Amino acid sequence: MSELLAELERELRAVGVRGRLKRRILAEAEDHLRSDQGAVGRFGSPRRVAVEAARVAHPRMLLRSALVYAAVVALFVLPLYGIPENTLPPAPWSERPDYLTWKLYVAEAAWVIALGAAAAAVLLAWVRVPRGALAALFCSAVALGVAAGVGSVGAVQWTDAVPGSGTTLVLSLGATAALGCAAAGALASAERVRRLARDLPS
Amino acid sequence: MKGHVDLLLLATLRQGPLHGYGVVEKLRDESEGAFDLAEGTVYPALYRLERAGLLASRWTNAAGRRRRVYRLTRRGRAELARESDEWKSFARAIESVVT
Repeated sequence: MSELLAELERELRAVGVRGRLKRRILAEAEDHLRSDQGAVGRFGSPRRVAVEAARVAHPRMLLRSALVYAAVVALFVLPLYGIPENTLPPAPWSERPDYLTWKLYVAEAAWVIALGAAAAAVLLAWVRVPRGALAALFCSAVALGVAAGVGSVGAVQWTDAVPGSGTTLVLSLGATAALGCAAAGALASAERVRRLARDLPS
Repeated sequence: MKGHVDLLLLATLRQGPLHGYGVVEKLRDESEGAFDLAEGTVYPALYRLERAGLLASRWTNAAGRRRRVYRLTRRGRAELARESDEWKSFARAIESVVT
């Protein structure tokens, strides 16, 4: 019995079933196997049980990744708007130069697209359309990259043009880098779920 | 049997709450051993039905054993009634052609 449970634990881990669900399945399996002497023989292959558990767990794992990613994208409002708005010194011009204005608009538009695509990914993961959710995550990541890149260039140019805005630059770029890492982590997690699901037997 | 597991699991819980082993035992008894399923696969299926809101479960302690007991929810009863009707119509149709 202990060998079967150890194998089941390994198989669950291999297909990405971890945490509470893994503990629950192992606890129930142990109880089941203790119930009568023939239970071990009738239990079935641990691989098959793990695969069935993975089919239940993967959609939830994808939804969780999409939710985390969407939350991170929403927080990009800080480097794009919140930090500059609250820390920048007054600008020396009456009308903002065009080379900064277009970058600001492009960064904001790209961020809105990234947020919309992230919301679509959450919705698609919720209704269990994993391919659609992953495609939406990819689109969102591209848009977010544009927002972060153009926004960062704009922030550097703003600092050159406006004395005393160095602190804003450091805070904005720091926040962008931290949030970018968090977004990349959530995307990597979603991609891992895709690979695990792809490798399950049909 | 694949494709009817949900209906069978819901039906075994119609008369009251059971733990996983109890579900398997009842399924085996009531089918007189006709359903030769890998018993371990019942647990992911029960979890899936619970996630769908058709079952509810909780841990219990009885005679020193910790077991998770499953019961039908209101949605589960409605789904069972719907799937049972579908199955009966299907079986009637097959029977009328075959006999």
